Amino acid sequence: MNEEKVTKRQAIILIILSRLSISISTMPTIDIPPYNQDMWIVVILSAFYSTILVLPLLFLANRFVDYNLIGYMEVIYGKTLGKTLGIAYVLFFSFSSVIAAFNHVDLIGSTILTNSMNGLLIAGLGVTAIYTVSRGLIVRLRAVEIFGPVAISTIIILVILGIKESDFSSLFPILSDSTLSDIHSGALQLSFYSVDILLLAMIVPDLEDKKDINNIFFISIITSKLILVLAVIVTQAMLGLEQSRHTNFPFNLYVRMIKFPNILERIDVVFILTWLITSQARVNGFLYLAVRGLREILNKGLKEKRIVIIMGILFSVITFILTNRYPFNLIRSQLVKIHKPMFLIFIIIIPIITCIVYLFRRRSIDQGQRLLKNKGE
Amino acid sequence: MISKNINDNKNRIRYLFGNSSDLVFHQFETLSETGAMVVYINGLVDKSALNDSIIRPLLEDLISPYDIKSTIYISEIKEAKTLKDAVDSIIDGHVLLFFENFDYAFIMNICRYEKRSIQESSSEQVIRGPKESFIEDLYVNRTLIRRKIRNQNLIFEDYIFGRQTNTKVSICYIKGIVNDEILAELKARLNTIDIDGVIDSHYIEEHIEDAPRSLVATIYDTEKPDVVVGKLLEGRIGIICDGSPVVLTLPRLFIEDLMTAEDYYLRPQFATYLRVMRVVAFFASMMLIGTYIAIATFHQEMIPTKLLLSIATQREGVPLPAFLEGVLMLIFFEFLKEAGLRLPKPINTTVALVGGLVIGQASVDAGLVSGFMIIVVAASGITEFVNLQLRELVVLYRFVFLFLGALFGLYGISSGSIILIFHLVSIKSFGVPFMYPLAPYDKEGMKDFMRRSPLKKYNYRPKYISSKDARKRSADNEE
Amino acid sequence: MKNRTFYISLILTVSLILSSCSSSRQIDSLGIVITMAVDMEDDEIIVTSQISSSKENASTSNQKSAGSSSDIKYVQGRGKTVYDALKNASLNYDRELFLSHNSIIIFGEELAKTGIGDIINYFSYDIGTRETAYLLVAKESKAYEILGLSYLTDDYLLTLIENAHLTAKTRNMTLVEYLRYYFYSHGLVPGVVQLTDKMEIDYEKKEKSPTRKVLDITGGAAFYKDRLQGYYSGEEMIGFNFLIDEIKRNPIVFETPDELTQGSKLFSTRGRYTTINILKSKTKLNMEVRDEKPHLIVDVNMRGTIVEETKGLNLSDESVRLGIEDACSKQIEKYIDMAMYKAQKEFKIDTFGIGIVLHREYPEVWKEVSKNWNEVFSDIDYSVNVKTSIIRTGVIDLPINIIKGRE
Repeated sequence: MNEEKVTKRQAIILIILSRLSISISTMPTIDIPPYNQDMWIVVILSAFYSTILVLPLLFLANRFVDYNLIGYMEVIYGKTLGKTLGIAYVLFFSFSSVIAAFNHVDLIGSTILTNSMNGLLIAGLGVTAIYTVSRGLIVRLRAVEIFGPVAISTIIILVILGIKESDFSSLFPILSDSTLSDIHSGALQLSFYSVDILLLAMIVPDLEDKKDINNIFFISIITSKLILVLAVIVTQAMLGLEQSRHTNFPFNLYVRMIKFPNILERIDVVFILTWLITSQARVNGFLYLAVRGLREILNKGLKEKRIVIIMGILFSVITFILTNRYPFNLIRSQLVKIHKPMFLIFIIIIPIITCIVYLFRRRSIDQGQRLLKNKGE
Repeated sequence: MISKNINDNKNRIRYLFGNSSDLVFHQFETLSETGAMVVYINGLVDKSALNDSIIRPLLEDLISPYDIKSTIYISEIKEAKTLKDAVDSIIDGHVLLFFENFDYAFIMNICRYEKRSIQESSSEQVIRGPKESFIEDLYVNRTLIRRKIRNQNLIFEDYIFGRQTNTKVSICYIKGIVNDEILAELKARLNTIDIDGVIDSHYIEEHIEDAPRSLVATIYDTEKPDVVVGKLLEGRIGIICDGSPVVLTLPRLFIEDLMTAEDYYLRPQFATYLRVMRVVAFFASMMLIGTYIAIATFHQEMIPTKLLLSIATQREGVPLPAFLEGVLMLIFFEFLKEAGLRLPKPINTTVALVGGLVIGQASVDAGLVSGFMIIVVAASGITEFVNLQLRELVVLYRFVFLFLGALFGLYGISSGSIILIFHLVSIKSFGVPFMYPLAPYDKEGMKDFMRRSPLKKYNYRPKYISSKDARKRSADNEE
Repeated sequence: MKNRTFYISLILTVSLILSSCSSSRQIDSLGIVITMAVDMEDDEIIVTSQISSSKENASTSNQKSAGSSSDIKYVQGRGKTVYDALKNASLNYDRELFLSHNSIIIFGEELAKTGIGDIINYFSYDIGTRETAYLLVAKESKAYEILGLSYLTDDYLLTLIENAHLTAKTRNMTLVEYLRYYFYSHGLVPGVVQLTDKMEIDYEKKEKSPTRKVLDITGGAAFYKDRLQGYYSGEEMIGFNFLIDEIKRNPIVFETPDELTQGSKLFSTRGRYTTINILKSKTKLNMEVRDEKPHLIVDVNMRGTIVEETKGLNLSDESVRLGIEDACSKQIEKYIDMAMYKAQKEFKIDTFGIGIVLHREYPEVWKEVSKNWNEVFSDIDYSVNVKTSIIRTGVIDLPINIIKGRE
């Protein structure tokens, strides 16, 4: 039986879920310039910016279809430098995972389980993470394929349910209160939040059809932006511009407002559960990338299971310390400052330098590849 | 080796069988005054056939033992050269015939023993469609399949398992449709079986299944020939075990548990509706109690106000927390179910009556549990029987979800279902992903998933299960 | 394998013990708050909660229907903040107050005049509250006095408010709607509740006092930001509802013009009024800039059916029908004038959201005037065009009070 590969559909759903996880929980979209009713234009525009910003990574992914991010770093830079960069990426993955977990625990702790201890929540999250990460990529993607459509359709249903209570008149006039530069800067800022291209960059060698890379990226980015546009519009219409800006979890508050007397009231738990799915996809997704990257760097010296358990426990402990020390708001305000340089370094600068180095050393690298391939055959 | 002396043979066989009392040795002389002896096990052979078709011609007509095939009226006569062959054939219910001065024996098949007649299946009843079911006899079961697939490509292969029981097991498949990789894998696994005895086909199942520690069975079992035939036509392989009315088919997919044979004999729309109901019942029976307890103890804000007030009124004065209330009722229900399952009918009604009364009325009146909890337990109890194939999974996971719901509320339920789904998708049955065609998604396979498309729409056989050439009909007739 | 099972069950048991004392709550241990009244006295906040408690109900479900009003309790607590007051209430009440089903928040008039911002703040901070609760102002009384009525069952007041669409003389507003517009520069109008006197019907009680108190939700309370500015009366609310396009199937009553009966022999001199029930009404607000001043144009397009008419009009006559429609339009214009007058001249606050219309249609103008919009609003001109169409006339064509053949 042939080894199973990642299908296009699975990759698209994974990336959409991971994107939605941030964009519908804390909804950074609502609190960036131009701070008014034109946010949905910003969201659409940011799809364009996101595409431009990840071009170097996409180029590299298309170039080295048999390697993932960490793999081709080693091919291009040689062993030492490549491994150092690899470790940097692993750290970044772990960082993203911990932040996502922090967000996760904060949202759960401040909404549905207000009286539970953080420790219990993190224990639950940690057990789930270790179990799911240890199952490997293919299983994780198959699970995502089942959860994804459920989560996405639930969000769309929630959007539809709230239309009755919303007041869309506050979304007008279009494009008259904001300057063009505001919108552009907002779109740029928004695209700094989506680092999910790295998920794609790491699973390229497992793809069923390598020609799909660009397709996967575009479809996932457009779909996730469309869903986000819907969510942003109804949230703003329901809560008003100002109130939605000052809410920590705007979409959650929006769902709380949905009301059909004696049938559906206060169904925010449904939203939270849906969001949990997306969040799991993000937390475990990045944790998995960290584990996988680490294993590749350590050259399979350790058993994968051991790495998973060590990483999982480390991850739980760090999250536990963080959540018991700071409120999420504080971290979030710090994150806004960190996000931009992080994004610049890992998604733009390193890949661009890599591209340049590759173009200079092109001949020798390509020869090496050919040799390897011949050997393999 | 078989001796030329009849008495010698007799003594050796008697010794091998340890003087077993059901062994019959009958010595006589034929027409030509040659010494002869028949050996058989009492009860395994057809006595009248033995008398009329073997003994009588021998006594009245046989002149030379070399003419035996033209003398006696038996269609299946073989020769046994060694004593081991002879002994094996006696066990199979054949009759051995020895002649004086012959160093081989004749094996004649007039095997006949008491067996159940073919009846309607008791565990998989249908309103419309074939009603016959398998019985405990391997040969009859094979006939039941062969009668439905009149094609030389239907192949049976025999195995014998069980050091002590020497049970016959047949695998069957349709050549050209079956996936050769799966077939090879199955044969490899069958060859590793080392077992004392095979009493039911489940013994085989446990030795070759993929996930022995999981609650999910990776091999399908059924009592109905039409179901087996349907599965064979999709490229699956059947395993028939002598002595068991349950035939195994593999590989198994999750969705098979939510299907019944009847789905294909009903209008597609109605069959689809039934499948949706079964899925709902599956989730309800597994998660309803857990979810109710989660909502009632963690997320009271979700319940509409009027309903909440009514639940609050009912819970007034109930001494147990909702969690214990649920566990108590559930365990009581399990006892009632287990007791009712195996009791003789007259006692059964009494148990049902008393149990129903106690569960339904008395416990509420006594203030031990709330009425709402009874409804929830009853609902998850009834829905359990909608998908009988999934019962083992559902009953045990129900307790798990009950715990999770009581511990973490809906957060626990959702984490639990995430882990459950991960578990389900990680299972493979003979190399086929268990959750196919949902994950990995397959558009063609989805035609026969939750939605049962009209039969005309199925152009291909399931992708992973059948062989590469998976087209069901010629391309011109495709819709 | 054995070890693993053991550890898993150990973890489960331990976490069960850990969590059971921290987070889960049994339904019967909660005091479910249905209505909440907030007042301010001596710089202290008083929170009075109406609780639906089933405590007096016996444990059997058979007696569930017994007296639903006897099991209501009122819990009061004082404190420096709302949360403080709520927690202090547990000093004199045996259950934990559960706010997630609180569907009404009533403010005392005194508190509303000094500002409800501090209190509303709590309701959006805490996750346990319900933001879809209705806001009410207790007109001319303390909020807790409203709760004291003996016949107040669990959902009496809630149903009363949710039926606000039956007449146009009142309105309801939820907390989330309030907050949605709170940050805009125009005013807000939540509902009002007051105690009024009604004649006592019960003979035994009548001897002691001839009247009894009932709840009444006529009118609306005009807020600017978080402060109460004044009240709209019932008739002004009709105009108000026309302006914000919240008219449902409400009646409009107007005097039947006498000239319509000319030429008809059958008419009554006694009947004065005609009642039209609105089937569908659509109000469009438009702005225009005339002489560099914003000018509001109100277009009302209304379809209705005649439900009562006592003058004996010949409705099959085209001119009579037009006359009735015209009279109805005039009445609606009058209502709108009343509401506009009150907003412009008394409150000097845009309570209708006309600023939003201006913002939508003339963003540049809005930028200039948004700083002092309410001043600009108080002297903008407006014109009202009402178009009434009567599409049904009831099931009789001659009123009962006309004696036929009277000549």
